[in-house]
Amino acid sequence: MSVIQVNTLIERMKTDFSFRNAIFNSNSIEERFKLCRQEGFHVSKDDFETLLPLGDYQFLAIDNLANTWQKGGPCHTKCAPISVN
Amino acid sequence: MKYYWSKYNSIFRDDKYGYFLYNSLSNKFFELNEDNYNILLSLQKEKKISQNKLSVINKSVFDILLKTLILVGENVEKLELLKKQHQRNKISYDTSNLTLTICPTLGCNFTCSYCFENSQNDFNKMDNNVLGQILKFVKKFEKAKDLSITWYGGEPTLAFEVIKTLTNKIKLLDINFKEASIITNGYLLNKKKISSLNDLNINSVQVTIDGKKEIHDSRRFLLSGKPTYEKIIKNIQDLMNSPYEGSCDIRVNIDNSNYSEYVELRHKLLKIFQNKKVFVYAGRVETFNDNTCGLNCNLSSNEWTDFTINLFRNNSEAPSEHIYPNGNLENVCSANSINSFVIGPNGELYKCWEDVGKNEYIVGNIFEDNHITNPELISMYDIGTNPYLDNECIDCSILPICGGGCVNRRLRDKFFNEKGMNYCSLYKDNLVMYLMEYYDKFLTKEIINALTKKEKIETIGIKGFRLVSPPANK
Repeated sequence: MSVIQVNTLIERMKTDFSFRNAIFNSNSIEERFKLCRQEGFHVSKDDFETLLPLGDYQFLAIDNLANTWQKGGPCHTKCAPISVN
Repeated sequence: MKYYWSKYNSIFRDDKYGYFLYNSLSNKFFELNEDNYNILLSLQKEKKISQNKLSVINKSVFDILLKTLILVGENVEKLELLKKQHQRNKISYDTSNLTLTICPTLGCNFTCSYCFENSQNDFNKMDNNVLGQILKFVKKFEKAKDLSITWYGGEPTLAFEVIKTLTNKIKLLDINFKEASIITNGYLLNKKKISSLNDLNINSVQVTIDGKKEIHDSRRFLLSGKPTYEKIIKNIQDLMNSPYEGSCDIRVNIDNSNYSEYVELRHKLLKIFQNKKVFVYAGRVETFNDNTCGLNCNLSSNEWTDFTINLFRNNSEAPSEHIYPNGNLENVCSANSINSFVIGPNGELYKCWEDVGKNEYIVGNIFEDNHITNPELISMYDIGTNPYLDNECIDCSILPICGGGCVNRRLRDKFFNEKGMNYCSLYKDNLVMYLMEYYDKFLTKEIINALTKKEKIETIGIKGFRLVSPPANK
């Protein structure tokens, strides 16, 4: 399984609401992969864990996003940061 | 009880992903089914929402709409804005820290066409009289426990002895000299200077480059015209291979002539500085009419949004303006903080870095007993730029996530009638683009979780909506 195939499955799930809902509503991971196979995606949990490091998606926590001048970081211009305890 | 559709709501349909509702006051973001979208869209059109309209909304949905400030009672928004303003004032008027930006000289060894300073040829350095007065000035802030300093200019490394002398004297004062940073072009940052950074409490060095060598050397050259790129990179390598314990931010100035090369340059720099505390980020060049390149070299707000969203999508680089808005944003910087000043080489005081060298923006002088000599200008900065006192901002759907934008530009627009001062947040014109970029990543994460973890993922289901905001800030 290549990165391209995994990404194709992800893109399909993003736009195919009923397919996505069927997967999300399934009770077990095995059942979810069975549904994927029925749709022609022969993927496994290992493929995902190997090919897509979850770390890439950790930015979704607000704290991990880029600095703003409130956080003492560089903003869109050369703003002077202030210290906030 | 009367209810209103919040002025801070944005309800929209996205061609790819469907129906959404966002409220900037609560910073909550919902995915909707089509039925709920149509019901809520019809509420948007009414000034006061009638009981008839409300009766079609399920009680549990109604409670969530109230809790997330999508529907509001009389004065609820006003009170929420007062809370935000209170928070802003608490930060602005905090006296427990003293934050100084010190320009030991305004002279610069570079001659960049877009520089906003007009005093690069003034090579005078702070003299001992000014240094002594700075110490007295610091002592005036008796309540301040911590002191932070940013060395700025001109080019501060041209007056490195001033930095050393003043730092050694400040260390003897009865205040915790917490940290310092330096904004430098990097050209004169040689090994000797690098070796003293830790002793000077400097834990952050910001160096700016203008793109790949060819472009950089055509724009950021010495007064003599000599190129600078290779020496700057060599100096950063020496810095990061030295015992220096801090970090280095490489700001790459981006405008319409070099944005297409940024990704390649970023990869190259990150490779050179692999495993070092070096951060590379794109900085938007924003020039004004008084620069030699005028407004022609800027990327417009829309172009900048496209540029940064593409960086985020393809290179996981988060722009300084968040992809998902920061709901706790209070626009407080040096310009509107009571205990923050920029000190020029002769002891003159400014509120913003962009004012350095401009007489009309001087707010005071460290030699005066009452160091504020221009209370009108201080008041304009402090009160006159407050977005919570500006009806146009209060009525803007993104005020709670914008906080009023750049204080300096607001001031110049509102009190000095300068043209071309675009101070509004990029969310103003591009909120939906940012939210959908966020949602796309949110969905990717959910899908990966569904196929790798046991947890059940919530869907819109029979409720007809679900919360898709990121977890709240802790």
